[in-house]
Amino acid sequence: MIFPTLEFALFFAVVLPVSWLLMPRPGLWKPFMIAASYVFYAYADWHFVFLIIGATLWNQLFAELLVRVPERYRSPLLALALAGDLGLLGWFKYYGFFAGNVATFFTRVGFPVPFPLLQVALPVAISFFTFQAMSYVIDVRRGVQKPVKLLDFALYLCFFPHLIAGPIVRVSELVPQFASPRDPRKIEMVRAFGLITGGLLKKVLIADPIATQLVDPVFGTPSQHSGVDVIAAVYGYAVQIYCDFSAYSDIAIGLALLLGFQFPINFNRPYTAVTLQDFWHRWHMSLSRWLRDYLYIGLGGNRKGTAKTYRNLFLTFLLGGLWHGAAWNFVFWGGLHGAGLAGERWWMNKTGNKVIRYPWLGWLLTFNFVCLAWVFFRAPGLSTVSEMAGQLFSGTGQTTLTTPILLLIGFGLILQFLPRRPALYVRDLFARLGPVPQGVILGAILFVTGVLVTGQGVAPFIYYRF
Amino acid sequence: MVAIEESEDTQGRRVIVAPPRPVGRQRQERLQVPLPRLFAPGLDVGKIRSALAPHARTLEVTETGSPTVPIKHVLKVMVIGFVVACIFGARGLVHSGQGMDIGIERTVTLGIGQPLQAVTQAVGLTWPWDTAQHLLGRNLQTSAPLLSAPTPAPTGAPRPAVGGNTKPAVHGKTRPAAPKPPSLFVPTAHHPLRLLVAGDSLTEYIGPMVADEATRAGPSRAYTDTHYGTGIVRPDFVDWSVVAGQEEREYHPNAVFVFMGGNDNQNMVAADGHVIYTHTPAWTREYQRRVEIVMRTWLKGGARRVYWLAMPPARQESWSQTNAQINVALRRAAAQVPGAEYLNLLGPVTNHGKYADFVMVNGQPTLVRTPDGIHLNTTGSQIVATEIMGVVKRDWHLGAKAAHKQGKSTRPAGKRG
Repeated sequence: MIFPTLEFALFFAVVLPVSWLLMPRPGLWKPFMIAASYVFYAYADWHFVFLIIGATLWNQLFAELLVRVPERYRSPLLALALAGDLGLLGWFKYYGFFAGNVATFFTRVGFPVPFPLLQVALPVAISFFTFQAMSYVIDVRRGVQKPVKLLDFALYLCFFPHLIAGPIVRVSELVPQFASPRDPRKIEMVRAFGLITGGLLKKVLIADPIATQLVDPVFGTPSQHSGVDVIAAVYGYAVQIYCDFSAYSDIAIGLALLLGFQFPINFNRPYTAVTLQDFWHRWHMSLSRWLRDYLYIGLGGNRKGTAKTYRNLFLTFLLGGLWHGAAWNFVFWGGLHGAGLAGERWWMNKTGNKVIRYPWLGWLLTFNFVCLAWVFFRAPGLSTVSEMAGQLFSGTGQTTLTTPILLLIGFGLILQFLPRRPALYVRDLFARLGPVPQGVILGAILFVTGVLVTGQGVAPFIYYRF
Repeated sequence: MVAIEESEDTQGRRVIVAPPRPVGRQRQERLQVPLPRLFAPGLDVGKIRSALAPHARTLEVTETGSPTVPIKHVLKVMVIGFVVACIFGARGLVHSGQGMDIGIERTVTLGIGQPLQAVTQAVGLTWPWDTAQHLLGRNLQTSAPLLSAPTPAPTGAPRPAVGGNTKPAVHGKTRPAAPKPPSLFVPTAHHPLRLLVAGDSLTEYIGPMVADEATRAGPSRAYTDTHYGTGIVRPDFVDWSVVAGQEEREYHPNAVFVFMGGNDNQNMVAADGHVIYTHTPAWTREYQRRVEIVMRTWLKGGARRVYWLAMPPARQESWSQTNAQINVALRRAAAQVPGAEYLNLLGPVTNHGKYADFVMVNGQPTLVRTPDGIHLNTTGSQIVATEIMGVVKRDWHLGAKAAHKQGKSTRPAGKRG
């Protein structure tokens, strides 16, 4: 089930009031929310509900064991728990990629092996819930988190607002909120509606038109398009992926607020970043935080010398790229960011932070680096990248770029630089209205969204498939 | 939580002021949010505002200044919002409901949407929706011609026996002369081939690939029109006879390649309301009837050939069965419509006609399907696009030299898996 659909609206219209009715009785509320989240997840394929139940039981078992066994057994136990998690992820997400590449390699070197080649159906959200489960057992092993009750952990892992595409929340952030009933007199409705309607409009008004009218055609057949189209598609995709993914996060945070829960923010004007490091502090912040805490620090972080810091940065982002998908273009995208971050760190060490002495230059370099790297992320294969590059310099072909799309790209970028003050004006003005005008405004925005999506329906979110 | 109140600042502007944050926090900032002047001087702003918001004087806010309200208020706003959206968007509600699979959700959505649409239409409240759709250049169908259309009369060749073999049945001793399909022509720079690739998400990659190769191969103008989530079985959602007519008027194609059916593994509802179940001969007959109508729509509009691609086998057995049933219907339909051709070009992306994720391409195991087990990935699509180009070259003599060069670079050598 994806958020901007009638199916989800019906689902949420039932879950929201029932959740608040049951909230004073946690013994009823938690099973209800778990069941609702499983229904939400089962909408894509009910078989995979067993997968999430299995992941819950597996990690809870090891979390309990980790605090009960002597210290010397804890690291092997953690390794076993993580092997299970990564095995699950590896089988469903990476087996086809791995098997295909290994079989190709052996065939090329003259030793064709009868490798069992098959493509495994990818369960929705497996990357997200696996990472969340891993963070729980690692935190228990590190002693920063005590094992929580099974019901709490099950709900944490499957809580539907963040289940499909994050934000990646930690047990310490969410489970304490489950422990105490939320106050039904203090709902941040205005912020929630602002996030939800803003997210809907970003998705259907900016991301989807740019995708269907520019990015998809150009990335599909670069040779059919002019150099101007290719450049526009590169920047267009940067706007599209931001408006798509941040929209999902905003809607998720808004829905959680209506249910009474707080999620961490996931985006903070990423295209205003003046360094790559700054970018990753603003883009998919919950993933950046996860990679830093559980991978970069796990590899040694910056504690083992300069050279190893660069290596750790590179490896962290290389694996971060692979997390996004089982394809070489994601690996290349991650590698580019890893190399860029390592290079930036080296330059800063050498020159004493000269990169940010001229913020405009830092912004220009960072923004263009990020946009170029997105080409690898979006392209269906590495050959498309070279085809696009070729078209950039020798490109003839029809132009599909239209003024409305150009304006949408510009608007999507300008959004990042708008001062926050006007939004606060609107928020407080809306907050001071009564329920009737508030409802009419909400209805008008839903109407506009409906008008925009009718015909083709809303396109799935980009991160839905990760 | 703190309460904020209204006052005026030094310049006489109305502001809302939050008292200092609770004890324990270091910062002692005051939230000052001037309210914008929305009305001309002289109007009693206070009266208007209190009419709109009778209890707007105090607001509960969090420590970050975010206003809060009770859950009853939230539910009230949501109900009003949904009612407003449903009233003015009743057409969209019905359209979305029609796109759902047959089941309780669809029944509920249409149960609410259809009466609502009838009422709003009667009182003229559908104009915002209609105007918006018109401004966006969309003409959503409001009827279902495929369902209401009569079964097409035989055009020379008689219809095959229902559920029988695929050869046209012969009545009596004399076989009537089959009408000739429209003649083809050799494209030139002045009279290029106008080629259209149409269908559901199966054409997502194939369409642009064929368009790309065709325009490079010779004098042609190629277009692709993908309608995601659509198919033949749900004309109440998107009617492909309507779409075909629109495409015909917009692109004037000489040749149409159609590839769809990925969403058609579901029951159909007949014109009289009864359900036609998948995996039954009646389903095949109805599917064939609808396909014939769509084929004829393109051909009547001026297309000289409609090539309809066979559905590939799917990973799930039930899908594969439906796809095989679709292929029977397509083959029979093409046999009935002069100018239509059923193309099964999917051999290279299957394992001797059976589903396979990987096939051998140039001696290498190559992934050709997406994880859902239904669609072709970019590599698989490229293989099929190359096969389609073979048909274009065969029938339309499109730039044999250039096409040969393209085909050589993309056509797998040892392609059978």
